[in-house]
Amino acid sequence: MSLTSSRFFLFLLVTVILFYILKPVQKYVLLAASLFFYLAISPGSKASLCIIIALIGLVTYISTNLMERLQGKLKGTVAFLSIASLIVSLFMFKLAYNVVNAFTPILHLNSDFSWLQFGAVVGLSYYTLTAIGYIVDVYWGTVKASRNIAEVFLFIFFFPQLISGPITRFGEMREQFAARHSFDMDRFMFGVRRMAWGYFKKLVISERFGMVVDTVFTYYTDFSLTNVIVAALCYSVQLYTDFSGCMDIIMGAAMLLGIELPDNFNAPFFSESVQEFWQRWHITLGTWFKDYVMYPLQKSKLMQSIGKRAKKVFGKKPAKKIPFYLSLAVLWCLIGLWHGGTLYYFIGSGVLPGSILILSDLCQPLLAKLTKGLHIDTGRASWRWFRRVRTIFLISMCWMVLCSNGTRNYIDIVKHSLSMPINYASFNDIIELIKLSNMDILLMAVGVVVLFLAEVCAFKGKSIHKVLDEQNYLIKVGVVYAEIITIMMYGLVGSSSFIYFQF
Amino acid sequence: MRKGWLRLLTFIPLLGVLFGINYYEDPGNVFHEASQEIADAMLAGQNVYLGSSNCNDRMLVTSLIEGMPKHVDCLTIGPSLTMGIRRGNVGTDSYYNLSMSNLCFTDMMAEFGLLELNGVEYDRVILCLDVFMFDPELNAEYTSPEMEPYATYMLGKLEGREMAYPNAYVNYERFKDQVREIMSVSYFQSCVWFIRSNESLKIPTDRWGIVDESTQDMAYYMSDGSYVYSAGYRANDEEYVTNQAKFFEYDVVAPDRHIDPTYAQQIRLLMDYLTARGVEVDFYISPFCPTIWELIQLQGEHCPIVGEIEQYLNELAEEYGFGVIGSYNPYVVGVTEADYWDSRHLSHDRMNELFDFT
Amino acid sequence: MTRDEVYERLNKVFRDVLDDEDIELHDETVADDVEGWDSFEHINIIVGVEEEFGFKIPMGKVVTMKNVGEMVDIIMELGK
Repeated sequence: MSLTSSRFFLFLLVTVILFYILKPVQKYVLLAASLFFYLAISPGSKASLCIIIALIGLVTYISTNLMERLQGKLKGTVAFLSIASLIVSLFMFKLAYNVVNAFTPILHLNSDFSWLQFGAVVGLSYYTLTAIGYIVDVYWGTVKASRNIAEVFLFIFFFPQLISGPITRFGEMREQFAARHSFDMDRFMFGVRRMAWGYFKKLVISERFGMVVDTVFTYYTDFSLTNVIVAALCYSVQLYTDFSGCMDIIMGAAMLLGIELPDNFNAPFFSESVQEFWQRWHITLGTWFKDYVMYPLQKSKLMQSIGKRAKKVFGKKPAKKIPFYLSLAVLWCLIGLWHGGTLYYFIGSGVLPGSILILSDLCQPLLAKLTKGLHIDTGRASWRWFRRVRTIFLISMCWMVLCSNGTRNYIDIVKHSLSMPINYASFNDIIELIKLSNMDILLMAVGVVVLFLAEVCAFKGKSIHKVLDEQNYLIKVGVVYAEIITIMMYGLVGSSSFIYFQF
Repeated sequence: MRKGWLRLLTFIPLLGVLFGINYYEDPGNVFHEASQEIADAMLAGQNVYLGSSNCNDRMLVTSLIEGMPKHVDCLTIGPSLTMGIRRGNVGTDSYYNLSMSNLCFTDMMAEFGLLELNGVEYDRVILCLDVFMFDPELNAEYTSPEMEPYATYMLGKLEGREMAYPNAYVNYERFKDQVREIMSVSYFQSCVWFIRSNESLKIPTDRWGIVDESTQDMAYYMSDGSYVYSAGYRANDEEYVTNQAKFFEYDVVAPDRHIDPTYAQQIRLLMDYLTARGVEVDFYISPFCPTIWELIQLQGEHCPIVGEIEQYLNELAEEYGFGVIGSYNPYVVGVTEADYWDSRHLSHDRMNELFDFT
Repeated sequence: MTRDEVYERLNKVFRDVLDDEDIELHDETVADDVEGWDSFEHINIIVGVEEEFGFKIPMGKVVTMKNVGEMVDIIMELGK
């Protein structure tokens, strides 16, 4: 049952109907629906999945309630044990095989580690973080532990956020789950409109850009450096429309049930710096790592003592940077690992972005001097757009590793591109290779324009959905009709799944 | 509040278009099942082509058996290998070819069960028992759920038990398919493609029709149940066959497995049943083309079942006084790739030249 | 400790950590108002505050404080 299947629509319809009919037990309807959804969407043994769900939920519930009654060292121990067990389970099920495989060639080990390859546990990376966040919040006293076990399970396994996020905080969700929601047609239609927009992005735009990426990176020997760069940029569009489209569908579905989930994107391609980009992209993941990893790490005694020692040796200003860069390095390595543990994902989503962040921070004073020296007016729109394009370019270069489907492939692709900088084939020939029709190109162009309009609204602070909400009824219907008709006629439904589903 | 509900109705036209087009165009025949009408046309003596897609041949054969005369001289039961045996080849016009593609053990038993239930008497059966009928794994993979009730009935009868009239199989799978496809966007897009290539909303070629001059190059069923491949397929040459043969899937010869003893025993019971009714049986063994035969021989003890079946059928024939036509070994029969239409199917003309089915 | 006393010492910490003598804090000041106070400097500021006032601020409060006014409230509460 993928989000684009009719089974999902049936499931959603039934859940919504039951949700509003059985008002007194809405929480339990959601919990039952979430567990059903999770079992239906997961391949492999349902029995082992039930065990995993039960264990993670119980560990979270029991540890949070225990911690409320404890103080000091004992409290810390409980927190440590429960968080450690969740991390270990995440590592074992998702990462162990990949990480070990990445190291065996380096260490020249010959053993067969296939026993580490467990069946896919969908969404584990997301809901483990959700659970850990809740445990840490209770430990810090930010939020009170819930005595209601159904509430805890629902918070962790809520079906819209279960498989690809957003990663929520208990404080934000608790009241929403506890409240009784009445049916509100306006809110329902808002949710439907949001879902339609998400499907449009995914099925009409993302899949087509994906065709460019797949062809160029699979048959890279036919393509030049310029083609590869363009394809990497196309990947950015594909990834964004895929992931944010998925988010729109999920948030629209939650809205049908009166639940508001936090946004994961805020006009990321309008970012003027790489640092700003990561604050606008996959926001809930970024804030999770910031609040639960970066801050505790920076505040830890180890980092503080490194900072103090550095101050003595290097002076005040550089000394601040050293623990900062160290924390960043650790943070981005962890983020890279979270993306699956394979070497190329580790590099493309961890090492490279982290390095670029550190480098850009290091170069900051130099660049400032350069800008001043060249008498560039930094207030101008053209300068802002230059910075935006530069940011998109840098990010796309990081992601190029991901398109290559393997570190070795990436190295081969880079080697080949450098040997063939320009493609002398005509544009039409290239398009033919990728098998895009004229209609496809038109749809991609229209899609990008519409996407750009939506992003401008988001950047200005008011999402396109809210803008449309205020329009006349005919316009709202017209927009949804246009989206749905385009999806019906040109949506590439196929069998592809969402990219961020794999984590 | 009422206005709110009315607003929901604005989306009804969209759903209407989606469901309506999917149902009406239906290129995959998910909503239209014409096997009864096709069978009626065949029983009335017409040759029938399938226009837009396949029809469910299990249901077609069931309808044929239900409608055929209560006495026929000869029947053919087998997989697609025997679909080319026609009235002219068996020496009598009172004949029906009840072959079904990928016929497996359950299907075969079900056909005999259906004949029994419908009170059809027959004097002779040309029976092609291929690998699918001796291996439970292949049977499980290719079995048709709609035939199972009849197979269970027949097996019970063979074992001498009193069997109740079987309940027809309720096709939940088909219903689920229909629900899924009526909402399916990709099915809608196939319909749109279909409309575009036909340049009209109306389906010009019927889903099926009577064969005439304009349609005689299409694949069609003859009124006796035998099948004629399309003119294009009949033109496949030796090179095509040899290339195809290179992609031979060993799964279909049940590698490393032997004749299942239960199936063998139940087939014996079937032979007793037929003998008791005075039915003559001729086993037909369809030869492999030389390329595939060599591949099988290379497997040696990993492909024992082919040799076992041929030996078993010859033993049965001797024991019951039945006939055996053909052999798996192409060198014994004297065929090459030039005699085939694809890696497994002998051209119908060559088959009828080489073997005497009368 | 009065609120003014807290502000005097807090200004000193901010000016020291962010290397800017012109910083002047109020109850409504947020991170965006102060140049250099980003999410990474936030921790350095917190550590500076902890060292200046001699007590640890619980992580939960570090993450949730919305403006300087809240920070001062926390300091005054912990200072009792």
